Amino acid sequence: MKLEINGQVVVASPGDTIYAAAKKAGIAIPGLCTSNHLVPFGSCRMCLCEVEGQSGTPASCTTPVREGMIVHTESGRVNRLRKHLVELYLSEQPAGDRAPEPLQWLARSYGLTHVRYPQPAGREPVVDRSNPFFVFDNAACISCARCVGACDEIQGTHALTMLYRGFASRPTAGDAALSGEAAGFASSNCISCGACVKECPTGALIEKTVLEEGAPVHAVRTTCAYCGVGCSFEAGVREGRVVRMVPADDGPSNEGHACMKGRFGWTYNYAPDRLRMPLLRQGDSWKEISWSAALDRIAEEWSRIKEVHGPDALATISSSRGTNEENYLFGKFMRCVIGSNHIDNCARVCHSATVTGMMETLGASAATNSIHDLDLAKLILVVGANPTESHPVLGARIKQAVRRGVPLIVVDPRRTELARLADLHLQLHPGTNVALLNGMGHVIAKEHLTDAAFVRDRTDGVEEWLKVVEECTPELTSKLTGVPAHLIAEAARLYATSGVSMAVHGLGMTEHRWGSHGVMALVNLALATGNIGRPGTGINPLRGQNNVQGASDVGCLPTFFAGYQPLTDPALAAAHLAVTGRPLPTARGMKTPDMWDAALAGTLKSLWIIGYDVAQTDPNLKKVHAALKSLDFLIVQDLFLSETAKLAHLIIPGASFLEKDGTFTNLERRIQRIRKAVEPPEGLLPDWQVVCEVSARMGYPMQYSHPSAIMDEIAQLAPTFAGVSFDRLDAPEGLQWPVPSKDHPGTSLMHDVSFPKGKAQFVAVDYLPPGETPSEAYPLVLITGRILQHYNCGAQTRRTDIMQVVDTDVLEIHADDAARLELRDGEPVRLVSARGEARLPVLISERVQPGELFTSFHFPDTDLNVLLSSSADESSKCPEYKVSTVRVEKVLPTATPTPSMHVMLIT
Amino acid sequence: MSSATRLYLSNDTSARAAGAGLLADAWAARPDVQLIRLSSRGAFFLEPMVERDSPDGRVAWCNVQPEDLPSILAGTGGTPVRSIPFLANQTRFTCANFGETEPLALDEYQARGGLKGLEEAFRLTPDAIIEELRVSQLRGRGGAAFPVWNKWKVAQQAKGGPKYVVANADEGDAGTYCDRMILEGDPFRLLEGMLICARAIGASRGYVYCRQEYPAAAVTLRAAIQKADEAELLELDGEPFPIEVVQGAGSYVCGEETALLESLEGKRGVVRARPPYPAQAGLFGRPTIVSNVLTFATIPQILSRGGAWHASLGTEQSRGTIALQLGGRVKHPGLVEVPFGLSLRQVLEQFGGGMAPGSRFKAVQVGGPLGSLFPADGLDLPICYDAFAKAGAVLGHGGIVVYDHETDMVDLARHFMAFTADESCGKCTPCRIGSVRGREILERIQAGGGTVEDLTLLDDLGETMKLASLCALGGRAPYPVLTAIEHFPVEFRSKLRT
Amino acid sequence: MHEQVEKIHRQVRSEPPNILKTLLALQEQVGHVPVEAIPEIAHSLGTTTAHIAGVLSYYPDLRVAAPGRHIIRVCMGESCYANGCGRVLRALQDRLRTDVGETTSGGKFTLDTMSCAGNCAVSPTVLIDRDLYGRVLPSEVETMLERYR
Ligand SMILES: Nc1nc2c(c(=O)[nH]1)N[C@H]1C(S)=C(S)[C@@H](COP(=O)(O)OP(=O)(O)OC[C@H]3O[C@@H](n4cnc5c(=O)[nH]c(N)nc54)[C@H](O)[C@@H]3O)O[C@H]1N2
Ligand SMILES: Nc1nc2c(c(=O)[nH]1)N[C@H]1C(S)=C(S)[C@@H](COP(=O)(O)OP(=O)(O)OC[C@H]3O[C@@H](n4cnc5c(=O)[nH]c(N)nc54)[C@H](O)[C@@H]3O)O[C@H]1N2
Ligand SMILES: Cc1cc2nc3c(=O)[nH]c(=O)nc-3n(C[C@H](O)[C@H](O)[C@H](O)COP(=O)(O)O)c2cc1C
Ligand code: SF4
Ligand code: SF4
Ligand code: SF4
Ligand code: SF4
Ligand code: SF4
Ligand code: FES
Ligand code: FES
Ligand SMILES: [Mo]
Repeated sequence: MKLEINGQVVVASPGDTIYAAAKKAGIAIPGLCTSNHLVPFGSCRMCLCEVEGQSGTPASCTTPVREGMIVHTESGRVNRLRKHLVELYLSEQPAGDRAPEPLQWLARSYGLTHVRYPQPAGREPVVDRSNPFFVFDNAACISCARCVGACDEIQGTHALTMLYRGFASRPTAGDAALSGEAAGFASSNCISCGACVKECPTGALIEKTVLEEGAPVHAVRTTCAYCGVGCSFEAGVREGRVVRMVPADDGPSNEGHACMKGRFGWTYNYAPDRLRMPLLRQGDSWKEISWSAALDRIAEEWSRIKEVHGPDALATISSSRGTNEENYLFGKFMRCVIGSNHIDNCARVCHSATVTGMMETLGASAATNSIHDLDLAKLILVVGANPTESHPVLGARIKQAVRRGVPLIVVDPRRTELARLADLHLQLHPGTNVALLNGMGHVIAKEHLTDAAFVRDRTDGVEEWLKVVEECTPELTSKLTGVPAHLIAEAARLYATSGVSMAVHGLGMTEHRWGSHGVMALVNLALATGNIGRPGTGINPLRGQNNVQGASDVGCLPTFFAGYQPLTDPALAAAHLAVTGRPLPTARGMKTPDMWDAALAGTLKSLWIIGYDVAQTDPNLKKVHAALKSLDFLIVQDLFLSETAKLAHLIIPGASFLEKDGTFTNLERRIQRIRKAVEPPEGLLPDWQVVCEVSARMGYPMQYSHPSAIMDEIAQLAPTFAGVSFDRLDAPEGLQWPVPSKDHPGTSLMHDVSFPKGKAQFVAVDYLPPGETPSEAYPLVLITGRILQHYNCGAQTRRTDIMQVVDTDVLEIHADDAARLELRDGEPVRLVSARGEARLPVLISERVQPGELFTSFHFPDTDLNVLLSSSADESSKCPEYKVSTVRVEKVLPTATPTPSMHVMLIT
Repeated sequence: MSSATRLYLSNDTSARAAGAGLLADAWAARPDVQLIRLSSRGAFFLEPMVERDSPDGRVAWCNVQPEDLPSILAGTGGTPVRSIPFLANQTRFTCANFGETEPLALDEYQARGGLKGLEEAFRLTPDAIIEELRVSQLRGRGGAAFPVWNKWKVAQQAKGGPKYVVANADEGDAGTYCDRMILEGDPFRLLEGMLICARAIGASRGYVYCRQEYPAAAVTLRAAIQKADEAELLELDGEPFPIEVVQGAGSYVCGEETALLESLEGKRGVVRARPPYPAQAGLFGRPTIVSNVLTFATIPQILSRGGAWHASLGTEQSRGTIALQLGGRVKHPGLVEVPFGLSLRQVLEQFGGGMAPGSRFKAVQVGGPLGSLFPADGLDLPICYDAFAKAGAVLGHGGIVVYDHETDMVDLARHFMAFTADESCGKCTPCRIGSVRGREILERIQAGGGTVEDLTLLDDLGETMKLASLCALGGRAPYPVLTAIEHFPVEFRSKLRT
Repeated sequence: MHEQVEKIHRQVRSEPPNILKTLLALQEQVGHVPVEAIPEIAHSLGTTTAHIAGVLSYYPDLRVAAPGRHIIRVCMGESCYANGCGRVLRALQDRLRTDVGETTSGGKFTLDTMSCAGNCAVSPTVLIDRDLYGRVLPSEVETMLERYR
């Protein structure tokens, strides 16, 4: 479609507004209320234009283009109107240079020298400082409502509204303003995603760090290092310090959005207790030692142990928080220097069941589709995941889909935010995924809702599956899962018939005694209905940590080399030898739980743990602690003195993601760059240089000028990454693997033509009960998981102002159970399992069902994981974090609520 | 009972306010009187009006007091209704039942031709219904005067259901009351129009957004809906077509169609940017026809008599009749339905009867609080959309308010800006800030502190509000103010500080 | 199949909750909408306190404070303006010794304005509770008020 703007011929697509078409053509039209991320609103009227043959001056941001339209955006009349609009704005703002800079700039642009309205009424003086991260100052506000749009349309939290009307209208959070209070944000349901702050055109909403430290002078493009969404950010830097993190509009996975942690939870970088120097244990305390002494020490200890006890006495647990390059090097170090595959990473406790389940069925273990596909799906099925808290930007995207009317089915024992918004919430008992999914399969098979052609052409083994699900009637399923039969049937029908159904799953699927079976049961449904291999469909595990996908991809697994290549592949062995000069050990290594057993058995002598707080986050902590304590030499490499570090013999400080270069791979297989924005604390070596140094000291120099060279080596050895290089990764969209060659564009959709093994495999699975069932002694089922505000072991988030929002784990309990146990909100209780006990305050919550409890694991003082058993998924060893039986005991007959506890449940 | 005399008395809100309620109370217990409560003829200067049947049609007693009953019962002193010039000179189609029927008597409605349009609509295809409307050249009566058929076509062709039909019964313009009279006095006509619309566009649900200031209208309408439902009228092709009455909460701008939809959804009544137009994406984002009550009420006859009949009335660009509502200082305030084309002067003289006793003409305002002011020498303008548009004025909803010699034009201008400032939804800058600045300037002039520059500033502000506002509230607000200054410059200048 | 799916969708997704209707209904019962009730209203409608506050503060008819026993509303519309509503309002202000939007000290009357009652042909108009008065003269204010206790 062609039109003419200011004499220039412009090509636009139907549906574009004049504003958007002009922008594409490089014609700037002033606009304060419009945004790429929001539906056109049309409140500021700065973008007025003239259209030939049309009277009046329509707003270009709300006027769609028409073929042949002739538009003028800079006519004398339009500019006069703009000048007079700015005059109106300035008439309600603080005088002179106290007015917001963008308005002053507009005034200058339109030749407005003074405001002609004498003694005009001004804006009501309202300042809301109650949010820990940003301030609202009504004086600088222009009531454009962009912030409200951001909260509604981008974030879907609806914490903001315009208040009052007419001249008095202004944005506010929550309802506090109606009681005359300014502290709206703190008392509202605002989750501090920062979208409103980013959208605000005047700085009426502004980050506290910017107010305190000044505006950034330059920006460095990088990737968030918290969760697997992999949001792109611009790190704003001033005088060598990060002062602001703003999500990038061209970020492929976040498109300008972010969550509290990535946006504001980076200040741990400047926590006073950041580790700066290596620490060597001396009895009960540590002594700072020099970097070279520390590196020497590791090399000595490991050389000695290897010589005396052999390679099996050494193991590494690499960090899913670190870069691909670092992880690859730790793997290489173990394989080439130590000569074993005793390396694992945090994926073990997280999505290892997904890896097993998807490998067996599909032959590849990563999200089949992309985040963008959420916009294409006609139905979204969420199984055992809580994305609005765990993957908030992706969660917001699902909420946007729901707003558009896309049906949502949530399978979760808890009433999460998405469950509340869902069309169907299948509130099953924890540990019964396989039963439920088989029950859905029964309905699909019985009602002939399968995609016969897809099953015939692209899968094997359907008969087996049909046989198994035949038994699983909705009635039986209902008995096992507690979900009403009709909901199971409706869910099955919706999933099978939408035409484009997308499944996402999380730890509610994997962290179970039969986690990999659950994943297979879900894959079976996708195969049966043909919901895979097409845009908007697929099986999409929501991988957890920023680089848990990558850590496994580059070979930090005891069972696979980089790119999931079998250790026994002769071609790989040859290539490995050629590139590294060392043979690739073929024997499978130890998985993390095996390491604990080996340590306790005395065969494992030393462990090197990088960025993983096993002493807090692994299950059955008494055992883990005992295992760690039985080691001869424990090396822990971390940013902080974590619970694990407290047990170490040698602690090596780490450089944060803001202080190094490298890549992370997000949950949609997207490899993205992180870039050094600021220098690490003086003398500090990033993790990758530490391993190089140690390796060199052990006689195998690994020399890389830059992490990019490491990636080149990965590309050389792993066909999946053959086309990956830092040059290509410099593009904002990164690369989604597989990237088999330099000219391959990357893969946003997997299995569109065929599966890695040709056909996909149905793997029929029967329902089996979880490891523990409630008993008289332990009558309640405890589910553990995460909350929005804190992150895993909490080492990072607990060192930020997020503590003002949430400063404790709480035990969520249903009102009925609380009443029976005579418990009040905030009362501290003892939570007892067969393994031990934990202490934490209770909170009555609508998110859990009677008989079930929920808590997070972000505060070490809780001692939560002491409660959990070593029960784990048979094949993947993924721990059963989601089902433990417990009882709740009152601590004191008259317990007082935990003083000044800060909590916020997302509902 | 048989000996009781049937007397007709209006139950219309204004008739009651004028004293009909008093009469009803006073006569309620009289065994010799059988009071029939009707709609009002709209000759409010004559209310309370009591009528009796006579062989030559109804005879009326006007401005009746309770003590006038004996002469009424005696049949002395009455005037045949058809000889009241105010009524006799009108062309009543849409308002034809006023004063004739009991509002909730469906049989009477039907006896006077009601439901014929709907029957016709069932005979026609949706396309044919819309074609009939195209031929009729009916334009919306709510203010914007958009061709009705065009809107219906868009909604009919819009994809995705459910679709909705919404009657705009917000009647916010001060000086207008014809919608109220239909709601209270002839509700089935509105329902019939809505049903025809629903049939044409394939809608499955109707709403009437009724201003909160009209409690009696809502009650009557709800009762009418109940009756219509019992008569199985609220059905289209076997599917129910429920109609719900939703009450507003005192916001003028909620009469603007998109703000109305927001309000109907239960939200803040803030104006939406268009496009999309409601016919494409309206209530809950679905195709929705929002039309004025009078517009809907005109439609049954267009179908029963044919579009060509409607097009034969009025002027080139303004076909059919217009319901003018006279108020202010005219001698004969009331409802006047006439074909388009009479001049303002003709209407004021022939129907308005000149000025109220003791008053001298100063200005007349047409089209509600956003309408332009006309001085005595501006009265020859024909009442038709085009002529008004050319004069920079609007007909709005047909309200005509006459101001007399005592009116302080500066204060009146201040009143207008204050109204806009009070009623602004606050979404767009020119109206949100501009209306307050305008009010401040006029307050300053009124207080004797204004300067010549203030008049320039008002001009600039006026231009900004007219051209830059998102909706016609801000966009029209300068008109009454600027026309006041234009026509009565001396009053303004004499108050300026020198 | 599509029909079946549509039907389920219709069953599971009811019409969105209506904030304005809810607030008006509450005010009808209680006389006003207490600010303290907002969280509960929000919860029961499945929306947020902000959205309730936004609607509540938008509409002139919604009140957060209890009004007097009787609400007097003087029409300020143009027909009433032309017919002297200003004088009527002043008479009421003088008589009640209260300003627009305020309640008399004994809590008997709340004085307010309105924009048009559709009674323009019989103006000026005063609405007290549900009683509509037309052609009101300032001198009649006294007797009008006497009917209310
Ligand atoms: N804010 C925040 N975000 C994070 C993290 C964090 O700590 N904090 N951690 C990151 C990491 S490492 C990971 S792995 C991801 C994890 O992200 P998620 O997969 O969302 O993890 P969880 O919240 O632990 O569990 C998800 C849901 O599973 C449900 N569930 C429990 N048992 C069952 C069951 O038997 N069946 C079903 N269907 N559901 C069940 C729980 O109620 C819970 O709502 O989050 C990442 N993102
Ligand atoms: N009860 C219960 N327990 C659970 C779970 C559950 O659902 N319930 N979930 C499990 C899951 S899925 C996971 S993934 C684990 C996560 O548990 P962890 O991996 O232990 O926790 P994280 O907070 O992700 O990170 C661990 C450490 O990495 C450090 N770190 C961050 N960046 C870097 C870096 O660049 N270099 C170095 N050297 N260190 C860095 C941090 O300071 C932190 O101490 O918890 C598991 N534990
Ligand atoms: C500020 C404002 C107030 C309005 N108030 C009303 C009203 O009270 N009643 C009405 O029918 N139209 C009103 N309108 C016009 C409506 O927006 C809309 O054009 C009309 O309802 C469409 O119906 P019609 O096509 O039958 O005229 C108003 C418009 C504006 C800008
Ligand atoms: S920070 Fe996010 S959640 Fe909070 S008000 Fe702003 S947009 Fe809404
Ligand atoms: S705070 Fe910013 S975004 Fe929100 S209304 Fe004010 S100026 Fe607009
Ligand atoms: S959603 Fe995940 S990646 Fe994005 S900002 Fe939040 S924590 Fe970081
Ligand atoms: S503007 Fe004049 S000529 Fe044109 S239609 Fe109206 S009355 Fe007729
Ligand atoms: S002109 Fe006034 S009422 Fe209309 S949208 Fe703008 S602020 Fe709202
Ligand atoms: S940018 Fe178009 S109205 Fe604000
Ligand atoms: S102007 Fe007052 S009732 Fe209409
Ligand atoms: Mo994880």
